[in-house]
Amino acid sequence: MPQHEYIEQHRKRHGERLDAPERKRKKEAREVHRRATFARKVHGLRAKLHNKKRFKEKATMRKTIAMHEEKEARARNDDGANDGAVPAYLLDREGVNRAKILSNSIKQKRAEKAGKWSVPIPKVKPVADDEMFRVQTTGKRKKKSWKRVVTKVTFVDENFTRKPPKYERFIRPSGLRMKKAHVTHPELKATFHLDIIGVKKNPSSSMYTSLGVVTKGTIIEVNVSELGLVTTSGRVVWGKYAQVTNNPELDGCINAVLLV
Amino acid sequence: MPAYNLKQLSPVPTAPELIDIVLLRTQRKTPTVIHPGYKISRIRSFYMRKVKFTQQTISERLGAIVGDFPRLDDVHPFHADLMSVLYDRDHYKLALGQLSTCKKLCESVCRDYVRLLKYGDSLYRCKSLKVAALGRMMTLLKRQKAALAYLEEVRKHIGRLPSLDPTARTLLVCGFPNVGKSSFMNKVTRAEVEVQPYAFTTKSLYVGHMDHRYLRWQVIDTPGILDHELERRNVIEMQAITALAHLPCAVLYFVDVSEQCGYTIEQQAGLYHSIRALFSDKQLVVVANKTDVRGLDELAPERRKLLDDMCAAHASNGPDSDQRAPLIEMSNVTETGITDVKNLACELLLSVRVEKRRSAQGGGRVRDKLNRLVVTQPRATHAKTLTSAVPGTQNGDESRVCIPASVLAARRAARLAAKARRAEEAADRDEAALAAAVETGARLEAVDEVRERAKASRRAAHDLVAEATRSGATAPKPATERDLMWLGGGPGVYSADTSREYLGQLRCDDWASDVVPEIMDGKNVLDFVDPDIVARLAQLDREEAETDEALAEAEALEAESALSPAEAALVKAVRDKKKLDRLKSQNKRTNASVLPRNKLRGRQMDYEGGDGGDAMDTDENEDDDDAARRARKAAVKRGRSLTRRRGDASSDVHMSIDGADEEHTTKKARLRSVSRARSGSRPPPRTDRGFKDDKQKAEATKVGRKMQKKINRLARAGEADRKTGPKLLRWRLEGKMSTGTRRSR
Amino acid sequence: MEDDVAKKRKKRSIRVELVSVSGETLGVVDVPETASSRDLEKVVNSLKDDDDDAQKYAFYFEHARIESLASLGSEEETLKITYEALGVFRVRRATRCGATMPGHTDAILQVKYSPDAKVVASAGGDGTVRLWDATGPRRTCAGHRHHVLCVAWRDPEVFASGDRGGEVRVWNTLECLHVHKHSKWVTALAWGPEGLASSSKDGTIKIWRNGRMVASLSHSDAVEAIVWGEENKLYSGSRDRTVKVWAEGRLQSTLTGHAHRINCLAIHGADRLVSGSDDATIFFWHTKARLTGHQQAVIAVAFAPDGRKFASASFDKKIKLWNGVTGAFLTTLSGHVAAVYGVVWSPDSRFLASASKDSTVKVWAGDDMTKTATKALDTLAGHLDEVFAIDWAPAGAHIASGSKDRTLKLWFP
Repeated sequence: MPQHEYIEQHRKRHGERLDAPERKRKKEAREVHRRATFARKVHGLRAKLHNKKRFKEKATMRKTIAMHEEKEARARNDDGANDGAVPAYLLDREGVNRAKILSNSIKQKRAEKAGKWSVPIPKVKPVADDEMFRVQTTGKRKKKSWKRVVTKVTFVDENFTRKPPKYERFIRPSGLRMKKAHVTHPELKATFHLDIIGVKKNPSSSMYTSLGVVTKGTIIEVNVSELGLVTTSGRVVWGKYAQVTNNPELDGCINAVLLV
Repeated sequence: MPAYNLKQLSPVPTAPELIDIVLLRTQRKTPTVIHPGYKISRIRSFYMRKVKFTQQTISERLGAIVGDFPRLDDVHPFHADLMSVLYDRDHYKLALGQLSTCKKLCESVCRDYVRLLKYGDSLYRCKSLKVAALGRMMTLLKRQKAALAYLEEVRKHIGRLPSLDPTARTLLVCGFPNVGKSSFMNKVTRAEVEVQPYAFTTKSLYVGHMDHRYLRWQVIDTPGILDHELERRNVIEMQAITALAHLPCAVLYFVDVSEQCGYTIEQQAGLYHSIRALFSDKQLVVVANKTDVRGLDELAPERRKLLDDMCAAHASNGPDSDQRAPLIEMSNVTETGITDVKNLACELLLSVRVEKRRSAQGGGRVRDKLNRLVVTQPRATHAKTLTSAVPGTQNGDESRVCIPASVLAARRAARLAAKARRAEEAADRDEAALAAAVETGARLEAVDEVRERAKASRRAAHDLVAEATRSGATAPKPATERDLMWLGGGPGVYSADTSREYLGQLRCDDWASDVVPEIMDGKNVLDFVDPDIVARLAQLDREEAETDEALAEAEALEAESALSPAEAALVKAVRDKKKLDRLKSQNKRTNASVLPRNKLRGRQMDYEGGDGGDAMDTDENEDDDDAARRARKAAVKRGRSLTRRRGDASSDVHMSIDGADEEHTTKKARLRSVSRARSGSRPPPRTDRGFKDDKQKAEATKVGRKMQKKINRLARAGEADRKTGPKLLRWRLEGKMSTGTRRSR
Repeated sequence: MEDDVAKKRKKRSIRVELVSVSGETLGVVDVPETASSRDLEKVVNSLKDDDDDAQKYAFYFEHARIESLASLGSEEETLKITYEALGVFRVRRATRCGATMPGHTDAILQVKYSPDAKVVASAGGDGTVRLWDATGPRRTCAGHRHHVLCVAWRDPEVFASGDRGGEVRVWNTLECLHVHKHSKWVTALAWGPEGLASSSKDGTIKIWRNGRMVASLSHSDAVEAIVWGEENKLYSGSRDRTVKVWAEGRLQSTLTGHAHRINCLAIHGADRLVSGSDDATIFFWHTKARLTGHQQAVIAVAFAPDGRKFASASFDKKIKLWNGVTGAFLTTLSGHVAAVYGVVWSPDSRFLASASKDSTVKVWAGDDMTKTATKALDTLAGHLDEVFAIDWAPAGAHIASGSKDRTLKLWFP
């Protein structure tokens, strides 16, 4: 007990007043009303925050109560009745969510339908040219409008050299160039910050692919050498494909899922 | 070294709190209204501002925390060690380091997103980027949860550490657990340390204060120390060790001679010897405590020897502590020896401190002065340094002393004068000797010899004086300005001749007294001065007077010749007639606008109800009458009946104007005229409304006054008081809203 | 001249040292080069002092099974031939689907043949235990209120079943005899000399006899597998990473070593106990050896009836065979394309069958240790979904498999 804990010291020496627990209880009982009054009065952002906080508290409270409540025997017997029957050796295993596993035949069919490539995001909204490019007027009278500025995030190779600016048709602003991506390994459930090697395919247009535009659903090649993946023959894999799962121009970063 | 206030660190918010603070601040301190229709540059800067502001807030808050907490390298080593014992130095540094890294990361996030925002082409995109940026910053903050929580705990604990002054006069009480350290502390100070009959009652350092010799002393109670290696000591013991290691103080080493604490004297002596190194260059008093149970003299001799050894060991402990430590008996229960212990320890420490300060001060003073003194040795720069040569004759690279000839002469004169004085003195002495010799009646030859010598010396003195006066006379003293003043008639009369300063500066010295021309606009004023202007002006005056006279004569002649009186009268008559005609035509006014009847009547009423006719201008009155007449005429012309009109309106007016108190108007008519003062279409005043008659009204007024009495007495706001209602309606200010904002209503 | 040489060569004999599987030398004999395994069998039988002269043997040279001594070696060296006693009978391996038996309304979770091999019991997720014979359904035992997880036969008349709700029911041919209760689901049942042992998720093992609980033994976590050994010992593997040995209702010893939950136990003889665990290793407790090789959790281990080998099945799609005496690794059987769920041996220890998540049952050669024999002999496809349970009839006639597609299939030779 440090020197300045006067309250404890006093309590130790002289005890508490006789009705201290009662007072404490009453104070706690009043707390509910105080909180209710506050909840009634509060509005605006504070109300929003307050409600959110209370919601969380209530959820945990409900959970705790449910945990401590005496359960009926029948109710307990019913647990797990709805998720399909599995043998004892598969019960209670994490990571094997049985309900989600499709039957083999259905899986087979789907696999056939999907074709050779199955990617995490099979369908993407196409990006139109006028969304992708902004027209840059040029010329002395600003009458010419054949120049385009890419408005999305691009990947530009390191040894890319610009054409003479006068004749450059597509401008990829350096502020929107990105070199790294957050790549999630779906099996390891871990995310790595990896270098991009190139843009393999932009589903919207082959021109975007050649320009290196990175939008949602784009397949990029990333440098996975630091992951230490090994091929069956034992060599270290360094380039692997990944599919972009977010809109990089909106989020300011590239998130991707490794295709394994 | 920055000064840290360990007691008043500002509270460290937890991570969620910090996030709330930052976001709320951003929300409140940055604009919130934006529309997609705004110019894109405006939208961009709106969101950039939000991102930057958030980052600034974070940097500010984290920077404040990092700056607030003391750096362990900067505080007193005692505090630094104590903190590293209590809070784990590495953990502390790591936590602060994490915060500053977080700050840097936030800054880089801000930079990145502001760069991206520059390319935002829509409100949606800008907003998404802002959300992402804020989200990432908040994630970074969230990760600081542990560090922030730790720092908050540290802050709380630091604030409650005893306020130890490491430089003050200090007594430090140490020893095994339960040997009576805290009891002693309670006896000598008012610290009220808790005393319990078990070990490690005291778990941290306690500070108490006492007076001795009118000085303030600090007594530190330390937790008990056990006898094992430093590495195995726990946090509680380490606090005591830290205090011992860093505080310059007098140490009271408590030994429980009764062995009631559960440790034998051998063990206590063992501890003493193992931590003896910490007592070097400190003053030590070995206190044999609990002598009420067993006195020192009851101890077995070998035990006693252990104690003596402890005292003796201190003598060989360090350079400063060259004497053995005193051993004192003490008992907290019977309070014997407590004052002795206190006094002895204080005296020991005080003497050493005084000595140290004195030596430090004495030595310091000398050192202080020595620092400022520079003794330079003269060094010959050249063989012939001092030459009385004229400047310019030497080769230029060496600095020569140039003594002016006048100075040399003066010096020679002074030398000669001194010589002359000495010679004169010698002559005086010789003459005195001669006189003495004559008086005493010395031998004749001797007297002669003395006389000869006196003569010779007097002659020599004369020569020297002559020479001295000659050489002194060679340099006449220049006249000073003051001398000139006295010569020129004394102060107030003399005016200094400034033209002397020009001497030698002009081409000719006699130009010096010339008048300096006064130049204006590039021209010499003197060139334009006419010396005989006065004479010429006088002549001009004269000429004017002559012409005036001539003119007056000519006029007189002319006037007499122009008009006869009859003609003049005619002219006047013509003019008068013209004037009259003009007035007449003005009075006719056939095409003047006619004043409408009702306006006319209103005006008349106003006069009537106004402040009476006597105050009115008569001309105006006339005009009005005129107008009324004309109006009436016009009405007749138009064929309107006049019967319904107040037939005698004009007479009425006249009457009332002429005499308001005339009795021949009936009461009814007067009443009517009064009631007509307010237009029939207008309602009666509000105060009169709703009453049947005056009586009722009077009654109501009376009741109203009575009602008002109490309100007035209590100085309350009554219904007649001026009131300003709320500017916004109540429903716009109060209550909860299901959706939307208050602004949208 | 050439004939002479040929004759000489024909008559050439090879010195053979006959060694038993356990490493004891039976004797060194000279046998002609042309001797077949039949001849060697005779030699072994004559050398052995057994009464049984008709015992059949298999012969191995450097782990490869041999049929004759030809082209094996020269006269100069002594060949070390390992002999291994074969079962008195040989079973034919199943190759075709003999019967598909629908009836369960939910996945079949366990199938068990009765000891007389006439009846097969299937535990279903629909809360029933159904008894089948080779021709069709025989009886439906309804009474459980939850998925039936396991069944165990005591004798051809009496069997027990345990369900997800923790209920253990003992049935005879006509009715339900007893109902016992655990607080959580039953993970395994085993009939032993002391009675019926049932282990449960609640961390207890209870032993029941004649409808009464005789003993209650507890682990600190869910018990996953139990097995009776000789001398009335009960072995139990648990999620708490220990194997405990119980005797007469008391804890005899605790075997620790696994780093993760224990999934399965198998025992042969008095003390050859193996356990498979989620840490992808198998412990051979006889030598306290940690057998590594699997890459994912080991879900089943099974000793061959003759005890010379044991097989382990794992989620890494592989089955591995190990020496049952020394614990040495023998071979890996790969072919399944999804996790293997179970493995059973044929009664003559020559074959083993495995059930897998890839909806197939595969039959493997269990006695051939050559590299080429690591492929499946037969793939019994036909189930439409994961095969959860498999059992080989004790008489060796057929295999029964139960699947998630709610059908029971019998596979015939």
